[in-house]
Amino acid sequence: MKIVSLLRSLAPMMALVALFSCQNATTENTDATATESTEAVSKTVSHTTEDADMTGVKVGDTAPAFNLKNIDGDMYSFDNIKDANGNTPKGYVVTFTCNTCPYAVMYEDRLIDLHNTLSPMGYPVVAIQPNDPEIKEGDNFANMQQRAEEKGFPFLYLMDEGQTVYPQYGASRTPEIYLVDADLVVRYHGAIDDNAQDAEAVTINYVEKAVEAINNGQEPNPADVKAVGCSIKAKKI
Amino acid sequence: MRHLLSGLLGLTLFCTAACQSTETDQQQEGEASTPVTTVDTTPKQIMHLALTDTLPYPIVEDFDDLAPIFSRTDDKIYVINFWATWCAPCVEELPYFERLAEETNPEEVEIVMVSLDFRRDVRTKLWKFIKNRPFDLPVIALTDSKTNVWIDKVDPEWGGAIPITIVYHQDKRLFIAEQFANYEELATAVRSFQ
Repeated sequence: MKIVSLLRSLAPMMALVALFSCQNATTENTDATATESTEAVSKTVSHTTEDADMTGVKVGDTAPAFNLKNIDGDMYSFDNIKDANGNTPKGYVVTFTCNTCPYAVMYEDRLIDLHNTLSPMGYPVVAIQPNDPEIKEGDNFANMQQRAEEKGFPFLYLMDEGQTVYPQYGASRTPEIYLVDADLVVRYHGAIDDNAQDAEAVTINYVEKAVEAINNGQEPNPADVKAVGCSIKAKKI
Repeated sequence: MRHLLSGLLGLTLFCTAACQSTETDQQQEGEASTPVTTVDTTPKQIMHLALTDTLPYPIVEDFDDLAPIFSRTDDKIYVINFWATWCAPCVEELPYFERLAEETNPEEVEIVMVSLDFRRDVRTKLWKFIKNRPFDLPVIALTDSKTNVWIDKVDPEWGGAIPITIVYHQDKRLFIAEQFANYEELATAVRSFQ
């Protein structure tokens, strides 16, 4: 209960962060109203779904900026990430993933394939590890480096130091994808494909399909696909 | 009187379970061939789902077959938890549900643990895990891979991460998208329906 209430009370703060970072035009008045209504909801027992997505970004929103340390020690942001050809990307496959979640592990090889397919087309995978390494030691920086070396990750593997980035995106699980276009607009969100447990049985690769749609000047459809995953391990307060 | 009886039954079950857990592995392996005590206590179904094979829990491949457990209209409080043996925070909070089962009357509070273990594990790893728990909670294994379809049916607010818990009584409903920090949090959530 406490956790739910805590989340609810954090929601307006996160919403504020998102609003300030993406929509400077929003007035303070609007923010204050949003805060009050969310707090009111948090006190009721039966939660309605209207308040569900107060945090994070949706398809169509601007992707929150970040500047995070890669496993090679360098800092990366949308400003200096390149695709496989060394060019400014047409988009970014921002993927919240980690070492320790069995679902994330099941997708490691597919994420490598995805990068190898999409990065030459201008859409590199940018993996971000969001878990608190104090809760999940297996996700600390040294273990990220080790896992990346073992698997030969061809993509960036960034540490969400201080867990400041994933809440702005509203990510809740690993793995979870945000496909961001060149204008930094989120165009697709959610699952990588339609069968987590069996790569052989996959019939739709949602990310590749979304990239194809963007390249054809269309809206990805579906644009948001839910999947089971591990909850992101937030620092205990 | 009915409460007392079911309380006694619960106590008996608990003792049986506690005693069984101290038995050796050898005896556990022999359990299937000597079902003298388990025949009487093992339920024939979990909620509306019949047990069709040797496992003490049903394996549901289509979410629609599970869906009725979220909309019962009788007078019970239903506590439905989504978990998996691979999910560390889920396993951490299992003792709270086990304690809830001990401290509540099953005629008033019905607990169901929906496992999202991988299809390849539901007859092996999951069964082994459950066998070694001190208290038998009703489990249903859900292996429907169309997560994009059924996650929203459970709750549109749910992003797909586990654990989550739903507590409901008729039209009143609580969706808890986080691990419980302690038993009291879970007990408070259930008590708010009493």
